[in-house]
Amino acid sequence: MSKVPEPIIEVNNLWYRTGDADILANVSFEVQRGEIFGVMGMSGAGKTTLLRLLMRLVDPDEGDIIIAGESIMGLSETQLSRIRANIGMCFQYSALFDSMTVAENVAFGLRRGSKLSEEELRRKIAEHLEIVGMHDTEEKMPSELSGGMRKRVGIARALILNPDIMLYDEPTAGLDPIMASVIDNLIVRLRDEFGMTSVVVTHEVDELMSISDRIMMLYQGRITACGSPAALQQSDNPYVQQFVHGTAHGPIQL
Amino acid sequence: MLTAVGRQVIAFFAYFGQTTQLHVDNLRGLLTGKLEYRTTISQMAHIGVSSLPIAAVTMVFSGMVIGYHAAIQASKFGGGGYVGWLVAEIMCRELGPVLVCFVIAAEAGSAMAAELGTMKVTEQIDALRTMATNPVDYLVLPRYVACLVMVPLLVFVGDIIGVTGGYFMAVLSPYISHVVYFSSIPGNLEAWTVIAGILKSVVFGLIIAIVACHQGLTCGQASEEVARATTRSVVYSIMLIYGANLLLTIILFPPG
Ligand SMILES: Nc1ncnc2c1ncn2[C@@H]1O[C@H](COP(=O)(O)OP(=O)(O)OP(=O)(O)O)[C@@H](O)[C@H]1O
Ligand SMILES: [Mg+2]
Repeated sequence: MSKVPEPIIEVNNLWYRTGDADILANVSFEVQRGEIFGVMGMSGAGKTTLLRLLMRLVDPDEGDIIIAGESIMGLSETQLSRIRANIGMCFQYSALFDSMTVAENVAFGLRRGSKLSEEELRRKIAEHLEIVGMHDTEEKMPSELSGGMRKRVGIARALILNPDIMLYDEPTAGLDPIMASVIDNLIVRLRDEFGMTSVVVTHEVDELMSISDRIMMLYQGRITACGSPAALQQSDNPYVQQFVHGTAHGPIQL
Repeated sequence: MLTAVGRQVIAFFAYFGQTTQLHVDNLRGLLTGKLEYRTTISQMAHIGVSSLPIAAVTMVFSGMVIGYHAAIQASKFGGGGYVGWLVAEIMCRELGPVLVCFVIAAEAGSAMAAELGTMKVTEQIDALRTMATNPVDYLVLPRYVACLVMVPLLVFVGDIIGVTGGYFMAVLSPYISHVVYFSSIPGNLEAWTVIAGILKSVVFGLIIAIVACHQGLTCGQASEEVARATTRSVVYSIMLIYGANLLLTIILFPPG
């Protein structure tokens, strides 16, 4: 029997509106377990909104989201905690707790969710800060960090909880090229070593092309294309062509 | 015109519903043991430190003017022996609870609204939710309990400061002796008067915490919204305290 790929995230006919604008319109896709799923699109395409919906930080107007076989639409905030415990989120603007040190930020979920000793906790914090290239910053406050440094602390804060799924909102925006490739390698390594599923949102086309297993392109809240990086590269869809090659002329109106 | 009024009425009931819900969520959190003691204690310290100085200044000056007026008026009727008691009645019944709570709404309440509003705008509240932490249990409940404990305490201290302020002005009058000012209080001021004033302040404290935290949590997504939420939290608290005070005064001090 051949191995049937198992979707860990299923999104069916999702609509999200604010006022009379469709922020997301009839979005459906699946993410397989252990896959790096890239989402690209212009600023305002609805990428962040999509991630917020996957966590159900906001409620869609229509449609269904199924995480690991369970629909999250009917769940109460308390029941959602159980689902969210398996999903890590790295926010576009980091969303670090600015009244806490870096170490307290990174330890936040662990302190509340498990009974580790302070010693073990300290070791885990150091280990995860090391992974994102932020060693020896434990006692700093978020206000003392640059945007890129905060972003990496945000990644450490989510990763330390060892989730099955990671949602990254622009993980490398604002990072220098070296640090960006460290983060890209990390995302790939987490898939290869731990089978972690990642949804990576960005408008960095080259980055997505190199790390993603599949890529979805959003344009004005709709799916324009979805497929392997190679397929998208060769797509004759003019929207995809214009975005992938970053040209000013084409069907995408600014 | 009618639709505009209708919208206001609906908005009022929506506000009432949401704040009542927040209240219920807090009580549920409290009963199911969700209170974080460390945060609560630091909130209590914060309320005390931020509000006590201004509350003390407010009460000492109010006490002084009341004491001054009372001394002049009472002396005309030969009632100089009751000035201390009169000031104490006014402080405990009305000025203590109301003025101290205004100060707390302006100092501690606005700080709560600003802090939670900033956390909302910078997605820290969403980050809490992604880490399976209920923002009401984690952020609102400690502030709610801290207000419940600290507001009556500050009001009690404020009452004493007010009476003491009255003393400084009253004894300027030749008809009022230092000793009689204070000794007129124990025999005449009923314990119930003090308790009823404190009970009022418990309700005002709940109003301050709920209004401020509600404004913070429902703050819009722009930074100027934080400023607006902060201002609104103070204005709404003060308006609600006026209303609650009238109601509670009639209930706690029935005529006859
Ligand atoms: N709270 C909100 N109220 C109204 N409109 C909103 C709100 N949040 C987002 N939008 C709108 O939804 C659209 C999509 O926003 P979103 O943040 O998802 O875009 P994005 O793809 O993440 O863009 P970027 O790459 O700039 O981060 C935008 O047009 C934005 O104006
Ligand atoms: Mg975005």
